[in-house]
Amino acid sequence: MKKPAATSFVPDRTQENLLLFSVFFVAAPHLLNLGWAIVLYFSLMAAWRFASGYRPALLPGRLLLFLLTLSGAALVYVDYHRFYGREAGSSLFLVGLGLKLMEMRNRRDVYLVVYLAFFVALTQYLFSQSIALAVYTLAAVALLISVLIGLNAGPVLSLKTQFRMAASLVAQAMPIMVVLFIFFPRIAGPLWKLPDDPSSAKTGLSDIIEPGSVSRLALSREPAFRADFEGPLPLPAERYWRGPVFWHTDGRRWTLPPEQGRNTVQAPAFSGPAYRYTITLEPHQKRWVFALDLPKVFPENLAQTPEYLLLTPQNVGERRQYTISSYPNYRTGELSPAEREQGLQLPDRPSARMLRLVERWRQSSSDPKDIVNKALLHFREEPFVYTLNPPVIRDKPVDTFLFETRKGFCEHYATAFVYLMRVAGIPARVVTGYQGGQWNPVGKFLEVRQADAHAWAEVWLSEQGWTRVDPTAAVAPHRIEQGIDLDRQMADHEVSFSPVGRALADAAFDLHDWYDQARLIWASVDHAWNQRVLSYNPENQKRFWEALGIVDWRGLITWLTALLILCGVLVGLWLRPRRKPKAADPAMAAYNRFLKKMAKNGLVKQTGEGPRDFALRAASERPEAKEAIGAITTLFLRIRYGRQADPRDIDQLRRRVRALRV
Amino acid sequence: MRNALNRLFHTANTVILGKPRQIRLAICCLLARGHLLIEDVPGVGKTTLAHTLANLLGLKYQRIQFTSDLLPADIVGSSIFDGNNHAFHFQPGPIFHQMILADEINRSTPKAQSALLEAMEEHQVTVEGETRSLPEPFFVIATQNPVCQIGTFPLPESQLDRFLMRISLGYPDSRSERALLKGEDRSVLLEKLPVCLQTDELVAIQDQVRSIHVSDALLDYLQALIRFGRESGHYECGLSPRAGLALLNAARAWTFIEGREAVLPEDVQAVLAPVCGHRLRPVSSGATNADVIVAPMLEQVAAV
Amino acid sequence: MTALPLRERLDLRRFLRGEKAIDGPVMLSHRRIFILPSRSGLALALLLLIQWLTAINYGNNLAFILTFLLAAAAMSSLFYSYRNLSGLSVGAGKMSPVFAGDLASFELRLTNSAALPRYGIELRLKDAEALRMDIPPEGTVSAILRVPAEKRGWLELDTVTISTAFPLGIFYAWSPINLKYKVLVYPRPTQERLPFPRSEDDHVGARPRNASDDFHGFRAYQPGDPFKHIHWKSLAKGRDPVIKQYAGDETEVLHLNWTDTKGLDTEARLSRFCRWVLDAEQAGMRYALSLPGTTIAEGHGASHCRKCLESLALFDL
Repeated sequence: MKKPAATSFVPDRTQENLLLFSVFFVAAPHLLNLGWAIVLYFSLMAAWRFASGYRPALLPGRLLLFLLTLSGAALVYVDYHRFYGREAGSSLFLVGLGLKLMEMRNRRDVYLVVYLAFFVALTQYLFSQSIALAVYTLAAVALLISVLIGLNAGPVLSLKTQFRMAASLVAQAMPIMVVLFIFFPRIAGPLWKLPDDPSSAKTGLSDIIEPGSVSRLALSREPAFRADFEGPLPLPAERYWRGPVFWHTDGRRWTLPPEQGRNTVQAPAFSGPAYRYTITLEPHQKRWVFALDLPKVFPENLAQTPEYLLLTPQNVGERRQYTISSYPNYRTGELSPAEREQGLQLPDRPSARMLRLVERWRQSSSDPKDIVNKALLHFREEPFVYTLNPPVIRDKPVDTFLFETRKGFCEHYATAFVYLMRVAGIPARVVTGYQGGQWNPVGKFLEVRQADAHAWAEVWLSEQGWTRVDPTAAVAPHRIEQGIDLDRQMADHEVSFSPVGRALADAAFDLHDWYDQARLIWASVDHAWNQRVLSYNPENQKRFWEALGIVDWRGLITWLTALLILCGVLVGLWLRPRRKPKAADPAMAAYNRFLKKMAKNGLVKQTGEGPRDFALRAASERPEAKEAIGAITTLFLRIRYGRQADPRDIDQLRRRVRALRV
Repeated sequence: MRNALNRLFHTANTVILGKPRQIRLAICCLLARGHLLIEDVPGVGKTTLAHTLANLLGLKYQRIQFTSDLLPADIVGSSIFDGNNHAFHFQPGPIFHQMILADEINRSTPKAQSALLEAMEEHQVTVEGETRSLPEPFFVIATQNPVCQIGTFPLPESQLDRFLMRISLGYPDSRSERALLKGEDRSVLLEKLPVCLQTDELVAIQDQVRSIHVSDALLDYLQALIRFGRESGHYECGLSPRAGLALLNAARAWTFIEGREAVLPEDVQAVLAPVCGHRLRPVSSGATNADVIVAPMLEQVAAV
Repeated sequence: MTALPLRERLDLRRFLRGEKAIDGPVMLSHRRIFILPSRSGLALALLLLIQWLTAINYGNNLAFILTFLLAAAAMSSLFYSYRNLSGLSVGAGKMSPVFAGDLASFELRLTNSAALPRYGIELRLKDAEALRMDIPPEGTVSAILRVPAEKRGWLELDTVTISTAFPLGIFYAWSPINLKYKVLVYPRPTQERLPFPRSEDDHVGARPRNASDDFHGFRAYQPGDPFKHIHWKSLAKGRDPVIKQYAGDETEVLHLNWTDTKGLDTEARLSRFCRWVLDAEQAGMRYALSLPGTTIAEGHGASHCRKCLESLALFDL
């Protein structure tokens, strides 16, 4: 094929500035993801290029460029100590983009810059996949496309037309993109071993418990997961989403048991109604899948630990969906000796006052159930305070908490309670997970946020097996009934700190209502985005294909081609050259109809033939229609060429043309 | 007035036999206040046509025979020393007539030609520093031998443009020729011709022609024709704006003769060949026939 | 547009050479327009592949969306490229003759009858530099392609490729066009000025009658001009010699005969005649030309000159 000559093309000033702006626009969100030095380096390059647009002498020479390249690479290495992986790779591309800007000389370089910018846009998705970023990059892509349009159209194209064209190109690409997104075969990744990207950005439950490990989440609005229920919702008090279960403690810190040599799962006896729901799990870089107590039916690719926790084969690094059935009424079986030993483990001798307290309870009743109730009563009646900001305890945390500070968050209560139970000889363990969740009436789902993270206790009672006991509920029942309402807390804070006037407070309250509403709608949009878009994976795709009756690649190709052709036809129709309407003039339109009628009868008006000449010819060939032809032509000529057209003439012309029979 | 015009045509047709279209075009040219160039071999009645028109319109007529030794002064006149008054006085040349027949214009030198053509354009002559106006109406009918004949100075293109129309008479058909041979002597016939149109009537008609309505649609067509002449590649150089105006004026006159009130594309087409034939130079063929030259224009430009 | 036989339609040469030359304007339609990815387009394909692999590797749906969006935009741009050419009509413009050794100008008129503007249209003749232009809606643009005219005679326009990379430069749409379009190339006039030939019956002495005629103007001196016509005053001032011309000079006829240039090869002879015709025309002389097989009667003026040059250009061809 012939290729366009590689003409040395230097875009004009406006176009170059547009290019620089677009590239900067594309790269800007990386400020949140990458080290500031890298972003600064890139910004410096872009600014340099911008300045040298006005003073070409500023462009670096070869040696300086080489030094710049070295320093860029060094910067990446200093920041990340490697050149691969999510952060380092993205940084490398950003640095490369900046360097390419410096040596952009001809058309080919412009393309390279634009393509690099496309890739930089993609690397941002490795850090966030929010709707906002998607919309942002859509705009960025349109900008970059407008740069290419400007490059190819030359200076006659106004910026406005350029943007409009880019926008319509992107708009036309949308349906094709959707088809490709749904039907283009997905391959389950990863294709190569992912470098161990730190999951620093992800918040969630951790695999140890110590004071503050749950409460650090209490202010996080980030969603942990969402649940779509197929039937009725569980009561707020039933919404315990089970996470990791802790047996072992060193007095301060609780850790998970090692994975190997675990006992087989004892199936509990379930009774009562079940809840069936789909969990959309946010990535949290752990294997846990949170389910309502206790899950019975779950997807095959999930495993269950003896503590009834569901596990995925790999860490959850992306959004996943699972459909689970849980029964709130259950009874677990006998306790094995090993489990009993684990359930009674204590790191050291309990303190004297602790022993005294437990001894008092045991004297009143030997029934473990009574002891449990006594302990809960203790938490309720003694001046315990449920707070997000407990005082820091350095030594003997359980003892100090129970008898001195008495201020704590759920993990304090749960661990102290389990400790006390073990002292009393009742097997007990700490369960972490989430409690509650906010109903989203717009999206009709339950949204569980990190702030809903919770810790509670389980004790083994001979009649029921493992039984859930939540000491926090004894101290702060509203926590269980209403959940933590961050917004309410903040609003209250606002009111208490604005003594300026009630009006302002009321306004704030109204505003708060609006804000609440907007937040709910946004959450449901976000949920839909997560559910429909971000969770679409090879498995979903397969299921979707099956629903459409696609069983083999032939069916797939048929669907894919048919839909792409459909899109192509739509785009083609959109773009088809629109010719100037032939006759805006009504007389002309009527006359053209007349000509069409005549042409059907073999009387075609020649291009250069005047209407009058044509009428004479036509009349001589069709003497029977002579009168009509003459009248039509006279009317037409009078309207089109005459001094003043009679408004009635046009109606008459139309009538005569309609009535014409040849 | 309409009757007078009809009588004019009728009478002219009795003198010039078998050439109704040419007569119509010639009169059209006069009504549009244009000058006429008749190009043909000698003896086909060019002079007779001019003389007939002059007589029928009652115009003061003068014939100037162009020869190679004709000087400008022979056309416009010169100052002569008057022995009685001991002073020079201006002796007007033959140009000071209402209708001039410039016979065989291409036989004279360009200098003599340009003297005439200047007068045609300006309707005035400047002799010895004094500007003198020519009588109104003022017509020039020039005749020209085909360029291929020996001993001619073809009119330069810039001068050709001054003529509104160029027509050629051609040989009469056999019936007309027979009638001509059988009939009265033309020179006798010319003497007897009545004046069909008075001068003031002629001027009135000329004014009416100017007010013939031209619609936008017609101007579209006219412009399409001009654009075709410039852009189609059929012609070496396109039509000048003056040519466009000439075409419009001629079409108006034609419309008037046809007895209509607004110009139609057909009217433009009717005068296209005589008006544009001598202003266009086809690229490919050496065609000189005006009808052949404008044929692609007529055929390819949509006329609605 | 007439239908094309299948065999011709499938002929691959059509892609580069185009169809048979036709006379009138060529309307670009789907049959004449070909589209292939350009080098930038292939590079984009590579980028998309890398993006796709990255998306798979990270299981990142937004990355998939971006990749597919770019692919889709590229596909849509294909329509734009096609639309940019489709419906254009290319016709031949003026034919202005040239002298051999000069650049012949071929004027192509690109007419856009649609209501949308055409951007970045390129016209290329073989390997020459492309001409780039934009055509406004319902507008016409003429492009002049210059080709060195080497030989006298007819010079035909070669295949012209009209192409566009608009809008994104990732597709190259082109259409090879053959128009029946030729210009006449006159022989190259000899560079040096030569005295006019003198035929036997034309003596210098036969001119005195001119002396009394009106003074007409000056022209450059040519060897062989009578001394008494030289304008000595200006020569004395150090200017190039000029000749006083008299109106009567125009009646003098220069006869150019084939035999005047004996002893030279044909092309050299034609070159010399070409020079004489031009000089005679410039000098305002009347001249006649007789070549073997062609005789042009005496005359003067642009069209006479053209006629003479034409017969020289086409002599013996």
